[in-house]
Parts: sequence; C-alpha cells; structure tokens
Amino acid sequence: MASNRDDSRSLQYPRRWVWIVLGAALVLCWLADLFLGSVRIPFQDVIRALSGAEGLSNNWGVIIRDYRLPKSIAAMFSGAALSVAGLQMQTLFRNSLADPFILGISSGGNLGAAIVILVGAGGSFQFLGKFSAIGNLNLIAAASLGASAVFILVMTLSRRVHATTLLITGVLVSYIVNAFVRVLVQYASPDAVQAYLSWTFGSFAGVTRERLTVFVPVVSLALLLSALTIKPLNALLLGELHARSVGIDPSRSRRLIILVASILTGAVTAYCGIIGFIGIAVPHLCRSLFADSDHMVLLPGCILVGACVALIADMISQVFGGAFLLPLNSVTALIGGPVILFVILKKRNLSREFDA
Amino acid sequence: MNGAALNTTDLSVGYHGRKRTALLRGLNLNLRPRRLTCLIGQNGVGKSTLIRTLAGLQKPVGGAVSIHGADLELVPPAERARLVSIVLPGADHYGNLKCEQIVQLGRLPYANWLGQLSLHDRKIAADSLEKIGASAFVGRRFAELSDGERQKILVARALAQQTPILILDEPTAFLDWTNRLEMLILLKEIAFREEKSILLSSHDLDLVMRFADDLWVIDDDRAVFSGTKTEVLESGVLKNAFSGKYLRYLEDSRAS
Repeated sequence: MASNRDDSRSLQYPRRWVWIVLGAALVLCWLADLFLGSVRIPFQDVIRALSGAEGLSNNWGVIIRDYRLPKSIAAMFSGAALSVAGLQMQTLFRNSLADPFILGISSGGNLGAAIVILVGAGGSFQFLGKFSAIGNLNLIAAASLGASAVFILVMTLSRRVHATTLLITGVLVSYIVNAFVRVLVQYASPDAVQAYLSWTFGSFAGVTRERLTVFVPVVSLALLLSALTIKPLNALLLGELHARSVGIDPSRSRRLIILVASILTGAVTAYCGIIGFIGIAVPHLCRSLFADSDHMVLLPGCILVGACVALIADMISQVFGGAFLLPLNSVTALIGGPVILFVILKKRNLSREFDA
Repeated sequence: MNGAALNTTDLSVGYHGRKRTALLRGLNLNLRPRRLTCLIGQNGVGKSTLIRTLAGLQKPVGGAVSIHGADLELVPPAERARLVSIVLPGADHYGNLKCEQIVQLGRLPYANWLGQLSLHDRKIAADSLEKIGASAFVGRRFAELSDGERQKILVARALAQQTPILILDEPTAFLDWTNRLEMLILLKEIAFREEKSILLSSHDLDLVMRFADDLWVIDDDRAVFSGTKTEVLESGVLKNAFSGKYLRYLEDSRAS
C-alpha cells in the first residue's frame, strides 16, 4: 500500500525530535491542566501560586497547590503507569487487546472499593467532596487490599501455569467480582450505589497532597523497575523459545513483568479508581508514532504519551466547570477513542505488529 | 568425547506432560566441530523435540546433554546462550522490527541489563547479515519479507550470537531450490571457517546427501543411527527410514 511506503520514509526523521516534542507536549499539558478548572485563575497567578507566593486572592493559592497540582501529578503518574502496564501485558501475552486490567488486579481493587462503599464498612463516602479526605483513606486501603489479594493469587499461579491460563484466570476473577458487586448493588442504598458508580468512573481528584507521598514513590519505583523488563520484553518478541535461547528465563521474566505491571495497575486503581482505555490505547499509539517494537523506545514513549493523554483527559473532564464534571472514564474513551483510532488507521502499520 | 562439542549420554527426549513420554531413547550422539551434521527422519518422528532438547530449551526425559563436557541442564541460561544458538521454523515473530533489529536480538546475551548493545555488538550483527548475504535487507521490516528472506534473517540472528554450536530446525523448509542450495553451502562454509558444529534437521534427503558431513538418521521405528555419510549409506539404515522412499540412494552408493 502506498501509505506504508510513506511510513517507512517518515522513519528517517531523527528520533530525537520526537522526544523533544513529547517532552514539550508534557510540560504544556501539565501547565494547561493547572490553568484550567472551574475557577478562572490568571496564568501569572498560577505560576505565582506554584512558586509558593502567599496572599493570592480568593484562595487561589490553595486551589492551585492543594487541589490542581496534586491532581495533575496524579494524572501524569497514572497515565504513565497504566500505559506501561498495558504495553507490558500486550507484549507478554502477544495480544493486541490486552490491557492493564487483564490480570484481574483492578478487579480486586474494585471488589475492595465496592465492599467499602456499598456495605459501608468505610463509613460515610465522600469521594466527590474533594477537600474532605477522611472517608477515602479506608477506600484506598480496601482497594489496595483487594488488588493485593488478586496479585498474590496471580503471582502464585504464574509459577505453575501457562501464560494463557493467567489470562483466563484474570477474566474469570473479574467476572466473579462483577457478579458479587451486582449482588451488593442490589441491596445497597441509592446513595451508596451512586457513590460506587462515581468510583468506577475514575478520578484523579481524590489524590490529595498527603496521598501523593505514597502514590508517587510507589509508581516511580515500579516505573524504575520496569526498565528491567525491557530486555526480556524485546526477547519475547521472537517467541518464548527464542527468548530462552538468548538466555532469558521466560518464566522468571514473566513473573517480573507481572509484578511490575500489577504494582502499577494496583496503585492507580486504589488511588484513582478504574481508568480504562489509556492502558490499551497508548501503547498502540506509541507503536504507530515510533513505528517500532523496540521496548527501549516504547517504554519511555508510553511514559510520556501516557502522562500527556491522562492530563488531556483530566482537562476535558472539567472543561464545563465544576458542576458538570464528566466521568474521567468516559472522557478517555469518548474523546481519546476516535483520536487514537484515527492515528492508528492512518498509519496502518498496526496489523504488522500482530501478524504471526 | 572424541573432540565433540556436544554429546549426549543415554539421552531420552519426549514430553513432560502428566506422564513422561519418551519419543527417542538411549541416544549417544556426538556433534563434531567443523562439520555439518544433518538430522533426518520422517515428520513426527521426534526431530524437533530432539533439537529443542539439545539446545537446552527443553529438559531431557532421561540421560544428559553435555557441551564441552558440562551438563547442559546445569549451565545457567545466560551462559548457555553463548554456547548454543537456534533457528526455529515458522518465523514466529511479533512486532514491528527492522531486519537489523531482529539480528541484533541475537546479541542480547552480550547486552547490558537494559538490553543495550555496544558498537561492537552492532558491528557483529551487521557482519552476520553480510555473511548471510542479507545486507540489502537493512532498513526493511521483518514482517514485509518473504518466508525465505525471513529465514535468512533468523539464521543471521543465530550467527550473531557467536556460539560454537548452531542448531537449525528445518532451515530450508520455506526456501526454493536455489536458496536451499545457497543456504546449505553457506552453513557448510561457516561450519568449516568458524569451526562451528552445525546441526540441522531436514526431511529433504536429496539436499542432505549432497552436503552433510555426518548424518543422524531417525528411522521409522524411532531408532537412531549416527555416523559419517558413508557409514550411514553402507549400514543400510535408510531402508527403514522414510518408508523406504529413498532406497535408491543405497543403490546409487553401491554403483559409484
């Protein structure tokens, strides 16, 4: 096809430019995310608030420093985390439809959250009340606990069973969790159901400054660890036997990859709820963008692009102002879906990725 | 050990399911350096299983494979990758990689923890491509190549691994006649020039008879006979292989 020829020519462009553009895009998205919100704050004041200036009018300093800044940081780290986890799952399972949730880790988080919200073990639910933080702590703990439980199950299984069995396990776990959650929903108060629904919509706003002190180190550590997965992921491109023949232990690599992806997914799910779409789309977007399957390129690419996409999604979710917050999950898929679909269809090199 | 690079002692290969099933038993084989050894036998007779076991990708059901006297099962994977390289059939790949990137994957055993290659490694990968006559493929996508071209790239990848032992499972399966000849001449040259022990499996007896130095024949009863080409021809072991389809080789050898 003619367009394919064009693609291969576009590869000649020096790759350094892509990185510079992506870096600049990230900074721009981040500043824009700080600037946009239900309260209009002049840009100079946003910068002044960031540099720690006191005495800005109308609590602007508080809005920027205590609300928008932590939210934007949470968005960046979540986007990066989900994209990297998605990339790892897609290569590990050789499946273009794999996403970070495929192992069932987030279903575990979902279960924990559902129990807390719907049964009310965590007390009154105040997820959308952005500044009242007390109720959420239990929610995060419960979601983490649920995610960890599934994580332990998956890690134990991964020692013994074939990769495909892990996929099936993940799907089954999410079915079981969903069934259980539906039972809980049946008997929960309308308020609790509404609150639970909001949780499943996902939000970066629940991550306050104090929570960032846990969330950011955990995600950073897992992202650093993900560098260790580059070599095995590249080797796995040629299949498990070839990977073994170049000295990679497939079962050990699989456990490492699952460990890293689970921490990334579990952390994001616990702190921000279930954020779909980013984890499946950004890796494909990066493959199209770089026209490459080398994880040495794709992994840092996913971090940057994922962070940008999450920031943009966050901006769009509040573009109509505070009263009309759009569910983050819908934004990622509604806006991101067509855009990314367009890019991928235009590049038309996706099919090459997955042809055997 | 008679100078063999790889040898097996009472090796049995097969499946490790709920029950261990041995396909081939009691193998005592030697793979000698500077020689092209061909493994022949009918489809389904256990060639691929034997090859995977010899390459250390699969555990033996019984007995042992040793390389330079060391039990292959006890050799750590990273070290094993510097001893044996393989080319498997089917060009099983996933991803959008250029040919040189595929070949560079053969340098992974020498890469750092991130999988980064040195200039030296890249040079070796480029040399392997040249050796196989595939330098022209540089910059092309592996997925866009024909089966035969892919096969060449995969052989170059294995060569880039720079191992004393190279094992190829059906390397000529997708090639046309000219490319088959070319591939075998090349492998024979490499075996001799680089003092490698090369083992390849094939069911193309015509080709094998032209180029093999040593033959391992798995007959239809899964008995394995190994020896030089002359020894194999004289032993008459081919009578019971390939359902007797290649008996004429026996006559040919007597006539000559």
